Amino acid sequence: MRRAIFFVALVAVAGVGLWIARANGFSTRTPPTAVERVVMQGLHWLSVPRDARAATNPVAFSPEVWAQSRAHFADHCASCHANDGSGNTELGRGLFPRAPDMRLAQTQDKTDGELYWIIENGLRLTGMPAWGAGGGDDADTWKLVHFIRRLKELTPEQLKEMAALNPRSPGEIEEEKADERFLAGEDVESSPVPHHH
Amino acid sequence: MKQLLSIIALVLAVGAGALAHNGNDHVRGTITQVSAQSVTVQLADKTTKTLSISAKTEFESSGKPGHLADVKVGDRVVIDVPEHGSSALLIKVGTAPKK
Repeated sequence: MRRAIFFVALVAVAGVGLWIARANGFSTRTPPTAVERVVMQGLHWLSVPRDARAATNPVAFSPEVWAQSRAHFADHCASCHANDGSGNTELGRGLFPRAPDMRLAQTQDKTDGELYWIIENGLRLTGMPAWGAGGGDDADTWKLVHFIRRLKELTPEQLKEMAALNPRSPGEIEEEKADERFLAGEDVESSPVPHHH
Repeated sequence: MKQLLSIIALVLAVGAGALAHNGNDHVRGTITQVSAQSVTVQLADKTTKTLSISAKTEFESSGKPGHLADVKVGDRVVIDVPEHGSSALLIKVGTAPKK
C-alpha cells in the first residue's frame, strides 16, 4: 500500500514537472538543475578511462610552449572558453552546461591526463568537441594542458596578444576596419552596431 | 520499474530547469560630455547615448593603453558595451572630427 502511494505521488510530481516543462519549454540560458549536474558529473567522470586519467604530460614546459599554447588556445578554444579561461563569452555563456571557469577547482582538480583526454575526445552532452584523433601523443594538446594549468599567470599584455589571434567573422573584420576609419576621421555608416550573432 | 523511475527523474530534472544572452554592443560616435562617471556620445543619427564609466573601463588612445584624461569633448570614440548594458568596457579614442 505504502509503495502504491509513493508511486502515485511520484507520478503526480512528474506530471507537474511535465506540465511545467510543456508550458515553459527548455532553454540553455538556465543553469543545469542539481539532478542534471549530478548526472553530468557522473558521465564526465565515466568518460575518461582509468589509464588515461593517470597519464602524465610528456611535453616539458618552456617559454616557447607557453607562447605556442596561448596562440593555439586563442585560435581554437577562446570562442567558447575566453582567452582567460573564464568561459565568459557569448558562446560559452549560452552553452548547456555553460563553459566552465577553468581557473577554478572544477577544472584544476582534474589530472593532466583527464584534461588531455577531454580535449582530444570531447565530452558528450556538452558543447566540448573532440579536437584530436584520440591518441595519447598529440603534443599540441599536451601543450594546451600546460596552458590550462597556468591560466592564473596570464598577464594583461598576453591577453591582448591572444585577443588579436581570436577568430573573427568577415562581418567583424569589416566592422573593425570601419572603426579604424571612423577613429581616423572618416565618415562611416551607422552606430551602434551589434557585435554579436 | 527502474526505467520508469529514470524517466520520471529526467522529467523532473529538466522540468525544473524550464522554470528558471549576450555579447558586446559597439557604440561609435563623437563625445559631447565627459565626466569621471560617464561619457555622452552623439551617434551618426544625431541621437545621444550616455554610458557609465567604472573601475573596469579600459581606455585606448591611438592604439595604445590610455586614460580617462585622453577622452575629450569632440573626440571620435568607439565604445564596447555589454549587450543590453550601459557601462563602457573599452573606450577607443580617435581624432577630433575635421572642421
